[in-house]
Amino acid sequence: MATNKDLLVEERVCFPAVAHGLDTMYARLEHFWQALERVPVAQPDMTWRMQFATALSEIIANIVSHAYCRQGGDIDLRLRLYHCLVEARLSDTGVAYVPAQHSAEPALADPLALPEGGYGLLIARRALDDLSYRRTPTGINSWRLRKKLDCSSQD
Amino acid sequence: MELRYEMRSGATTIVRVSGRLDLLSAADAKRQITGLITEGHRRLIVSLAEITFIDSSGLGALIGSLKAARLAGGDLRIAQPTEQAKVILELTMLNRVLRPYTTIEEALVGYEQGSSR
Repeated sequence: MATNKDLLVEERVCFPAVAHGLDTMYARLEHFWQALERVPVAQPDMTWRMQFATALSEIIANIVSHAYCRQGGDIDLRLRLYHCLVEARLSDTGVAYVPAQHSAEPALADPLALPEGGYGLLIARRALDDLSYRRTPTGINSWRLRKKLDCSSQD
Repeated sequence: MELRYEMRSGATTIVRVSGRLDLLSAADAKRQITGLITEGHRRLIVSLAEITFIDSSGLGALIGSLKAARLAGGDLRIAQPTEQAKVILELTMLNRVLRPYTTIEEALVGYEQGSSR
């Protein structure tokens, strides 16, 4: 289990849940990747990074659309690097997340029956090793995204 | 997000999407593509070569456009996916429905030979 004493790099940014705010998030993520490259850990390849960035984007999209109902609000992002793990924590003060009655699993046999939405959390879960959500007693939504680094070749 | 299109031989329309195809632009992209379908462009190839990012909303726009094309008696194919587009298609397994062609020419060959997918 990753603990604070294992924390190698941390980046934090707060940005508005609007278009230019997402650009801020991507700039911070790029900064985080650069910091990761300076640390002696297993370096994730481009596919790994794309999966993580895609998962992060999907959770943010959920916050923008559902927690804040596209009315704006602030999102707090913390990016953390541990020895064999990258973690993102997203916090917002919007409405609580309520799991959908059903998840979008593509009906591959009939394209005309395919849903046009609801894939975001599916994408995030499949791209990550762990995705969790909790709502604090003070009304803050907190998402935790974790993806393991391949440390098998390390000592 | 910007979208432009061009006609090719055999009544196929190449649609080129550039920029971000995401939560903020997906509805507009779908509106423009389905608008083309309404105007009679029923065989579409959507090139993703110039997109900088696609998320589930962008994917939904492509699915909605595919459905509109099929209902109009046509079809929609995607070509030149970026690596990130391939990632999102693989994670959802929608690469089996929206099979990405490596090049526009490969997607055109399928249309010209009359293959359904």
